[in-house]
Amino acid sequence: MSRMKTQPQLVSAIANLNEGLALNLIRERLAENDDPLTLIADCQKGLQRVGERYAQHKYYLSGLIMGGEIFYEVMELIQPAMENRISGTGSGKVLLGTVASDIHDLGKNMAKLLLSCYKVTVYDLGVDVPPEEFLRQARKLQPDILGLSGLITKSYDSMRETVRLFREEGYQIPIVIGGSQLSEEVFHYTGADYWVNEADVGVKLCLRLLK
Amino acid sequence: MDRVNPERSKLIACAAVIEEMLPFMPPHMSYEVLDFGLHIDPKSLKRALQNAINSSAPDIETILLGYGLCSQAVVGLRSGNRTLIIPRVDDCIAIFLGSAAEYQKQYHIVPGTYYLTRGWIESGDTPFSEYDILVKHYGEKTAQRIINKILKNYTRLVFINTGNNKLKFYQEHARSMAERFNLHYEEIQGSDTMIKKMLCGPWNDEFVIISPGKTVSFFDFRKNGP
Repeated sequence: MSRMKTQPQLVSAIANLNEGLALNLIRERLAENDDPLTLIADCQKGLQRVGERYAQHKYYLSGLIMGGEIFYEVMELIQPAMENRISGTGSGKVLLGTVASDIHDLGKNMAKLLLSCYKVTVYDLGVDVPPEEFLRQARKLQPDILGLSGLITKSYDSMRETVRLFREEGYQIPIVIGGSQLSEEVFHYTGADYWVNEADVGVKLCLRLLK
Repeated sequence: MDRVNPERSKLIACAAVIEEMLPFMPPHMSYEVLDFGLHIDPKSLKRALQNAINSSAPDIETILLGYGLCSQAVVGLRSGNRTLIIPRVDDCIAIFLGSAAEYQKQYHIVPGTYYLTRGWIESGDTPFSEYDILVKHYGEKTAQRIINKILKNYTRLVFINTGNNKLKFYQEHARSMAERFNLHYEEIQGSDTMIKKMLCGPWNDEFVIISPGKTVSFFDFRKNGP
């Protein structure tokens, strides 16, 4: 089937949370040597629609999670094609984690997955990570970027605390905060260098910073 | 700030908290309840709140918001020619627990805590209530996969007891959800301290006070907050 036909089908399959159809379409397009980045972009369009339907109360929270699940499956299929396409070895190191008092990791995990596709080395410290642990690991692993993730409003205080600690200790690496509810005001509150609302935007930012 | 003048004040509250607030409402204070489901989309909640503020009767001078930051839905609200009073908390769980400090304490004990209250159970908008719908849509295996993902880092389910005539039903519901999804169950006695302070004043630094002509900012919630 031509890409012209499968592209809207793939976006709809993900928007409709039809896992089987979405994965079949991905397999077809990979077999046709389609650009994996275009496939990812199509999937993200589908995920965007899932988000819209959630906001319109057409989906529950589980719809969002299911969308994420399909995306993970898609990425597993796409990853080998991505790795073949991106030449060279590791192009940088990112230290990543969900900050203290927060345990949400959907966005963080998506960012990790996408960064890995670009052969960026990701050190994932997990969830509810205290500022001191970020610092300890940064000293040990010497990352190029620190990525702090958080969803709930309490996480903003932990982000601020982590940024403060890094700056106090003289660490000048770029600090990116990520979370779907972040805003310009919160960004200023935390003192971070960059902020993103979406995982894929965060990944593009990291790739730019690593150049 | 001075105590509330009930006749010139209005409460705008979420359906999740109104039942706990009504018993402490001073006589002659008006109120408006907004749909629980609005919290899913902070932009819609913000719009609904602004509409409710703007459409209040002309003689209303003070508006009490039965909300916290709530995913920043209150940030950007304009007071118009009234004064807005908002609890300086992240969300309604702190209101039920009686203070932002108590909420913070609970977070430090177990960050992965899912809180249930009467309102949240009634709304049917929790991962636990979704499970049966999921089974119907996707089958048992996928439903389990999704719910495991949602609850992955949660270890505790806390039922906040705010006391009411169906208490036993809610307690049992919360306990059975904890058992079903393998979470440690705890019950915490709710507190009406913050609700009373909010409805009757005087408002101390546990409340954000937005003067007429001003806009709510995120920083208003962090001056003396956690």
